[in-house]
Amino acid sequence: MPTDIGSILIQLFSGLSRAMMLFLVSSGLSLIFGVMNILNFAHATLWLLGGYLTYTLFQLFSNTFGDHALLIVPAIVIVTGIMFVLGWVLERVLIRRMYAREVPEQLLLTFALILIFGDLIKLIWGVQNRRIFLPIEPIAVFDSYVNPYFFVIIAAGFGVAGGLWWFLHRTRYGKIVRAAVYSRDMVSALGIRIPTIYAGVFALGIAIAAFSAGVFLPIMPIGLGLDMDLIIQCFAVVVIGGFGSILGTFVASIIVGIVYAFSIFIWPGGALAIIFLILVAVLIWRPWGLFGTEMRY
Amino acid sequence: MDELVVDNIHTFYGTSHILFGISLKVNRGECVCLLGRNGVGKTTTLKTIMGLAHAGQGAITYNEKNLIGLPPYEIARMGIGYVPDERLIFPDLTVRENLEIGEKAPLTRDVAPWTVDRVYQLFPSLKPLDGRPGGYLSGGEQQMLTCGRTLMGNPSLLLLDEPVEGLAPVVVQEVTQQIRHLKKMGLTILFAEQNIKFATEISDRAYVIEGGRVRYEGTMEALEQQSEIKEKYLMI
Ligand SMILES: Nc1ncnc2c1ncn2[C@@H]1O[C@H](COP(=O)(O)OP(=O)(O)OP(=O)(O)O)[C@@H](O)[C@H]1O
Ligand SMILES: [Mg+2]
Repeated sequence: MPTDIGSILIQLFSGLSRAMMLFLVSSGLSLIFGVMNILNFAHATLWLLGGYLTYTLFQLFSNTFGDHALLIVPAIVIVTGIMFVLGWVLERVLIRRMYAREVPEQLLLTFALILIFGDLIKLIWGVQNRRIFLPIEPIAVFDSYVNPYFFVIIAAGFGVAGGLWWFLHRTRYGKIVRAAVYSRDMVSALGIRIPTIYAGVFALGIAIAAFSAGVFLPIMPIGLGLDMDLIIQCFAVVVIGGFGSILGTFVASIIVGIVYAFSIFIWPGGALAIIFLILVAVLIWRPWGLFGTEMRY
Repeated sequence: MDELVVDNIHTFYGTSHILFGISLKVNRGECVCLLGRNGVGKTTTLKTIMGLAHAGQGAITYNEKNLIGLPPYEIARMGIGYVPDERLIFPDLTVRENLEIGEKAPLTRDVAPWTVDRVYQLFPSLKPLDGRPGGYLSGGEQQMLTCGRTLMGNPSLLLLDEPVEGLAPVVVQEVTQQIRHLKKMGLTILFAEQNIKFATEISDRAYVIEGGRVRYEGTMEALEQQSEIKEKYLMI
């Protein structure tokens, strides 16, 4: 266990930035489940695909325009857009056929997507890990050094969280999404084109995930298998926070992210076990999650 | 002219057969009532018209346009508004936000569109609740909000499912006035009801339903004379 303030702070920053990634991926997962009742197991695999695309685009930009750290910004923005479109198409072509089906069939379909996109990634990028190196000098914090990029990630996380809150509470489209969580039939009976809402929510969820993958590339190498680790932790986050609650997802992400960062120090092999212990404790205490409610028509 | 024509519909929930050939017509500007006891198929009839339940057989037309097979949002966009009996208020949206969600442009330009303020004029008790979450309203307030939310879509035909179910007598009188007012404004109304007394106060004609079939149809005055029908199929 680190005892000096410097390394504790580093763990805190790394935990917070991990929390941001968990939040960005889980918020889409939770939103998609809340609105469409679909558990998208392939969510983290699409996150991974977004990361690889950002990697390739960044390499392309660097080769064309020369090395520049800021080139990661257009790469992330473009990939977020591409993944939004991909999410939209996936929903229109595949996912929407699953709404009336039973859960096992939904699982089969999303699991098939994991295999398909996983193989696609293997085919294009191979099996070795990829990462982006940004020329950033670490800054001194007490006796240790912190990569200032952590602050970029934390800011991006808070920014997207705030943006999502604003979207859900202040825009007409966002309010419709919240209404659809309670009753899609009633929303539809009010004349709102529910298929557009569904496609939009799915695409938004995928786009946010892809965004987070891009933002993380400079501090975390991505590789096959990472999607499985991530999806399991995201399920833990969503269950702890309460399905469908964005605030719950945010709080749970921070808990899980920070606990994970510190448990890696104390008991590296057991970090995931500790998270699941928390999950079990929360479920016993509040079966609907910290911020979840039973209220659902 | 017939605005809504339901012709011999059979509706199923999964494998259970609920409606056995219901036929009915609603003329423009009329207020028609579906009367019957619990579980006879009134809600199912309204849901089938709205596209929320599926007719395996039969035809439904609205202004001569087919409704069968259309999703609810297309049906709503043709000018039909549905006020469910389960109320289905969006609980974490405020009263105003609930109303705004229902907003939809009118199909014709010659009528003044509904606004939040006009809904508050019709239902004055909603006005002070403007910023309150829909989940914290009383039953009567929820009923008015559900109705106001549907009106915001500027429908010309209103499907009302037991609008006064579970309301206190004073509130029932208020709602009666409000429905009369809507009728005067030219809205066509088809509503489901168990209580013939309330139905008589606002409707022109009635269809008495039992076991998923229409057992009697006629004006309210004619139904008044049919003591056998009333005893057999209705609660008096
Ligand atoms: N989702 C459903 N699945 C299966 N059966 C249903 C479903 N909804 C209603 N039913 C059945 O269909 C029949 C007609 O129900 P419906 O709700 O249309 O009756 P109702 O006339 O509206 O009754 P109430 O006055 O109690 O509202 C009932 O026997 C009911 O049990
Ligand atoms: Mg009913």
